[in-house]
Amino acid sequence: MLPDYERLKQSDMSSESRLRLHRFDPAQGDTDPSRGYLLSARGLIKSYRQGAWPQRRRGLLGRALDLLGRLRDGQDGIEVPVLLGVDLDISPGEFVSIVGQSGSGKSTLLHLLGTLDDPDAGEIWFEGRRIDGLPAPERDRLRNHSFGFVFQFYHLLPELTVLENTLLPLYIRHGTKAAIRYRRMWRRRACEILDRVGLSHRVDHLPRQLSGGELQRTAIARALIGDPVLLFADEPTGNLDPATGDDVLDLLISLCREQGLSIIMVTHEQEIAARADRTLRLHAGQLVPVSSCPKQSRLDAPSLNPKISCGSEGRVATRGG
Amino acid sequence: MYKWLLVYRYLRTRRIAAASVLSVTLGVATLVVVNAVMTGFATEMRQRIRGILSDVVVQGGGIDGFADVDRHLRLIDEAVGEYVEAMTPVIETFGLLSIDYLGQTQTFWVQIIGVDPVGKARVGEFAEHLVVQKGRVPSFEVPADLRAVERVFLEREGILGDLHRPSARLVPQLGLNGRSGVRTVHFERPRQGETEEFLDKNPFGDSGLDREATQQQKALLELDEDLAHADSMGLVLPYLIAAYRDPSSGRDKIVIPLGYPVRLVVPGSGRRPQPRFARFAVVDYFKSGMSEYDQRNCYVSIDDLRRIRGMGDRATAIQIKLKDYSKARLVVAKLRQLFPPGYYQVATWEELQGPLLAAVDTERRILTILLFLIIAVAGFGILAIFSLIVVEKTRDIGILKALGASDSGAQAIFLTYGLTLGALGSAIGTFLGLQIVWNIDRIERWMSTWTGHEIFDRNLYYFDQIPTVVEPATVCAVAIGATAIALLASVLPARRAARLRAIEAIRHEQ
Repeated sequence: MLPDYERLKQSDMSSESRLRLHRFDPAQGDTDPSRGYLLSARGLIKSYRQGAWPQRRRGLLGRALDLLGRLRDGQDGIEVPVLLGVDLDISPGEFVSIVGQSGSGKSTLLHLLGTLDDPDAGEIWFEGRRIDGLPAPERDRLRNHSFGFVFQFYHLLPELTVLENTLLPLYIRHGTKAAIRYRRMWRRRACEILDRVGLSHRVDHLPRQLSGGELQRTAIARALIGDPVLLFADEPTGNLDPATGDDVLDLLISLCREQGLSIIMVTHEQEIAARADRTLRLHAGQLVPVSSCPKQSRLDAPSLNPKISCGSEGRVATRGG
Repeated sequence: MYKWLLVYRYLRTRRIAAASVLSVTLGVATLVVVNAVMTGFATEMRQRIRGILSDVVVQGGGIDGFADVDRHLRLIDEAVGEYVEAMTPVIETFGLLSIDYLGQTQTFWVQIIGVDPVGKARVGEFAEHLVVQKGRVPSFEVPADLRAVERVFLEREGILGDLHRPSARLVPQLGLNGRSGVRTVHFERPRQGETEEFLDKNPFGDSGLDREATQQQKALLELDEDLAHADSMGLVLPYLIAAYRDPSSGRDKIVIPLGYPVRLVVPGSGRRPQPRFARFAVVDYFKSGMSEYDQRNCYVSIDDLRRIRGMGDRATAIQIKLKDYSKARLVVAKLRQLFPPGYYQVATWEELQGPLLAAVDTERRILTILLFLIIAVAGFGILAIFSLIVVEKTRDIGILKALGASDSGAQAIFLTYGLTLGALGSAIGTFLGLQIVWNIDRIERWMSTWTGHEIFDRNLYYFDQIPTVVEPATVCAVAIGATAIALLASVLPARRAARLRAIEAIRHEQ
């Protein structure tokens, strides 16, 4: 892997040529890589620029300011590679866990798959449709209708009650009129789901009144209300004590078994990951089945990126991975 | 839906944002109150001036006016009769009013207005401004009871009744007062022989005009004889000459009672204006509430004034009241064709009082702009607080976007928030402002006793209440303007929320 990356860096190829480097044989079905899979990823590459002046301002003045900032700092930042050609196939109803060390890019991969971020190169297919690089409105629609998200830090809105937090995807999907017309129906439905996750007694409470496990179960209820096909769970047990974490995991597994929900879970805990149907390890920027990956202790784990823990992106990766 | 829900929750939990609305509220309330009071003053003033002046005035010929008034009236009626509700000829001139009071002669510079009381009452608010005959058909007749009062003053109080012979009692006092600086006017009748002598020595020769003038003069001299022996005529005295406000009680005290004899000196008509003298009895007081008029405007019968000044059928102005004031421009334009400018002046009352009205309007406009700046400052407060809230809510915005909310949806949260805050602030401000306006006298009294200063000096304006006029259009404009400013202030933070990328927001821990 490393030589590959070095070559990539030194030759300073365009993303087009990088793509070619990781392109799969057309015989394997490049035209339709999903081939019956729910979600497929091919050759995902993602790197972050560290210390670079953020290039995200719009307009003439914004661009001028960006340029000024770059001139002042005198650099384009250091490119930190995170993913170096990730391939992944998820079957419908499958519970896949991804493990890896801190900073290995697990969360980044999850964000790419969930269309929260764009890969530098590679393809993502969902239900026979390519979803990377979709325009923003379609992406928003996809996330709202087909995906569910569960985060390590729950990410509930503190001003809304458990019920309102749960209903948020529906509120976003439909307009005010529908929300008023169907409020009874929606409430019943939310209560059913909250009952399912064991929170029927907490419906009108605010997040700050709940415990960690209850918060995460609320987040799961929220992820379920929109009838998603695929659930992304980013360290769902990372912030919980083992017993509570087990409860949450049991819940996820039962959802997968009983409702046929596909789940991609990212975790750094081997034991948690082991309960999934299939476990993959993100190692050196690529995914490998956990059996084929040599067991390594945390200390001597090779780090792709020496600077991984000192930059802003590194911090993110540390938490996520 | 989530927008409204979040805005509702933010409104309830973000007290600091509510504080920023307070400045909008205060700004709107101040603007409403100031506008209502200033409009009230302006309206009151306009109403009074218009009542005194009538709608459209045709004037000409200086203080001697134009002859053949009836023909003028007929011409006006032919030209614009369809718009005219009433018109009346008036004579406006200046003069000196002398009152003997407490053994001294006080003389005032006055505007003497000769009117037909009934006609004048029809073209404007005349009867309404009379203290005694208020609401009645006004008249300058001296009724019998006042005539009796006059006689008492003339005889018992030793007041100079005969213009031409100063009373024995007054003469030494006049000398005394002259030393102490009190200004007096001596009335001296030109002796017959002297006048003839003067006329004979006319330096301009004996032109036809002069002969006419001489004849006029002779006629006036004969008239003097008549006036000297005739009964006094009725006069409406300016209220501020007749009364003063007692500072201790705050009540007006009338010092010149009805029936009191006064003297008038007016310039006579003709090529060489001579002073004309006449005796009058006070039959009423003129009180319009405009101190300028209440100090100066002396009303007498137009017929009396014509006779005293020897004017024949002349008048200095014709005052016209229109059926519909919106036609005033048209009427003025038509009358200007009829009465060429130069000799005549045709104008609406607004044009006659243009500078004063313009000053009041300008004052109000500038004050409105300045007060709107206060609201603009409040807008910057909202901008700052909203920017902070967006930063604070970065994670929440990211969550919403991760769950499928669009950029415009995130933007709409803060725009709705700003709009709601602005509308709320405007509504409360408008309510507060209207409450203050409707209870302004009570508030003023309370504030006066509280601070120990009289905020609204009733002596100054001669209003019993602070006049207020609430213009719904202005109030709406203020409320909408303030809401727009709040909305505008939230545009920048809202755009920031829209541009926020979900991934960056979610990476924020906790």
